[in-house]
Amino acid sequence: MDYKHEQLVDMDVPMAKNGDGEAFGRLIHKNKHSMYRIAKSILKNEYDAEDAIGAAILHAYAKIYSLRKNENFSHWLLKILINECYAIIRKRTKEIYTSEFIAAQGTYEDKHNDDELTNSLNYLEDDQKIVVILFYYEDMSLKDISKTLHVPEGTVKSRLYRAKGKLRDILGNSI
Amino acid sequence: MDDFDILLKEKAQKERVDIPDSLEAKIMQTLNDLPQDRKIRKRSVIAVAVAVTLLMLPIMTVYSKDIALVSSIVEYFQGNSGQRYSNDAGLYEKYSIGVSKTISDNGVSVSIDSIACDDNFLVLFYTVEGDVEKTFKGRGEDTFPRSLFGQIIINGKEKSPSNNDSYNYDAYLTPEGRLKGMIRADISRDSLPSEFNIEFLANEICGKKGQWDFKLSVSKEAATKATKVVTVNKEAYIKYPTREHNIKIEKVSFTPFGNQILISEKYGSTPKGEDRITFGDFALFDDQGNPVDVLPASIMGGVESVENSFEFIKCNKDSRFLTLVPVCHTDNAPEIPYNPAGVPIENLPIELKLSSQGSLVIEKVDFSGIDTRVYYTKKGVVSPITGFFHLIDKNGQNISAQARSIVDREQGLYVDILPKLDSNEKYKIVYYTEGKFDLLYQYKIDIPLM
Repeated sequence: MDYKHEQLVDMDVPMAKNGDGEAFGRLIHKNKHSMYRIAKSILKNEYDAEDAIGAAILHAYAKIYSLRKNENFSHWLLKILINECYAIIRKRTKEIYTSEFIAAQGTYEDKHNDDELTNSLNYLEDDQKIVVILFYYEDMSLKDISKTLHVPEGTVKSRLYRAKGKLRDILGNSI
Repeated sequence: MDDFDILLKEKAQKERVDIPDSLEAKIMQTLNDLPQDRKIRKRSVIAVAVAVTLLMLPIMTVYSKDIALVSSIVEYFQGNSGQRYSNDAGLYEKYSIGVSKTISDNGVSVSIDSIACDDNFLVLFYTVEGDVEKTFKGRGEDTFPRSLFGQIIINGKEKSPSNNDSYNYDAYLTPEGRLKGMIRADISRDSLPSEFNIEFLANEICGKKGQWDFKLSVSKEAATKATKVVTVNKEAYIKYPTREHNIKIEKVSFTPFGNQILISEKYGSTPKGEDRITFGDFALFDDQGNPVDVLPASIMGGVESVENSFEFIKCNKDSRFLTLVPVCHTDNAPEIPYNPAGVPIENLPIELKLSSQGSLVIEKVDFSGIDTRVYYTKKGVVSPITGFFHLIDKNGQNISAQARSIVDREQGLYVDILPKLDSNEKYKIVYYTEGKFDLLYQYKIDIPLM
């Protein structure tokens, strides 16, 4: 990612907070790949992932004024998305505010399936998968993951540790 | 961060996911439709509109005559012996009522075959037939069908939300292309009489819209004799190094389909909202001091307070009390090294030490013509998770990637089901040890059950 683009995005956050819809749109486009990866990982199917992303965009637009630190936009957006994913699961089950969800066992798959780390996610338990995505792909800190998933930091560490063990087995010879 | 973390991060940054065209279109449409005035609560309006529409829809229920179908539960579990609750088949059969009600809409027929119920769980067994996209791709060659989701109304009121519903959907496709499944709903928060009415309302099945609304009568009377419910109402304060919890042990229920402990929590003034951590890490012990296994559960958060229920095994209703000890994970470093070389599967049982507090004991490996089953127990205090180990073949290849884990609640056993394997081959077990954790005995809670 080049420096200019980062600067542009930084400017987009305060602009979006001031109601600039185009700036908000640019922020969404920058984050759409991460959003799709996470929504698909939790919800397992395209339809629900699209619904969750649509709802998260609306929610983020309505609440962006409350974002305290501009540099946290991406993680804030992903946190909203994860809650929207759980909201969709709640619609299915009529639960409220589920912080972790293990749906019917399914596979994370995407159109770009030559990527071995992405493919190796399929071998992880669902609770490990989401932690791996947030830590390695989204560069979230353990503390942020803990807050996002509403589980203790120690639990996040433990899941990440076990996931790493499996990934080491799966990818060990190839990296 | 070690070198492997850095490698994985680098790899992750290089791998990108392609966005489907339909999602690109959805994003564009959503952005184009954003309200000009941000104060307009567009989503809320939509949500309310949908809710009103649902309320006004006539419930097109088919009131068919109840027909006893004693074998429908057996048939469900026989159809796929790897189902998550297959070890409880006999109990479900024992405490079930045959229903056999079918509703057809939009080319899809849904049948509720049987209902089983006790004080903790309401279990619906169903069959879906017709023109629906039933599967999505699963691991390897397997397919994992989508489950049937619906709203459950009990005596005219929506079933109380539960963190423990989310594990409870299971389904498979029959060779004839029918979707057979079960829904195991946690009703431990609902105070219910012996007999009650439920509505099961579904408006989408496997991606197809329609209306499949059932009205059914349920009785939990048969299971009541094997049930013990203790209202505890015991409050406790627990302080972790970085947070504190004010919890209340609400109830402990021993029932045929699964024992549960219900814990509520009132949040303090800080932290707020999404930064809150809900209490959920603890160990349980019976009145002899023996560890009781807590099963995996989701954890719910809430606005000011929340209730979470946790299933447990290896403790029966004769125990005079339970002791809850909070668990504090202190480090991700293992106390005991991870074992990548593998332990040969010889001279069972084999004890795999996971921490200074607990082990897994591999009791038995059954090679059959259908599948391979690894039976194990937890000894001491072990995290309520599965996936601690996998099998490798002589080439070091992981052969457990497609394993499914099920629990034998009655025997206190866990079973990992793997594809059929050659029993003459030498396999090894590779296992992952636990990160360091402490048991906070200074905050232990004795829970009387008499």
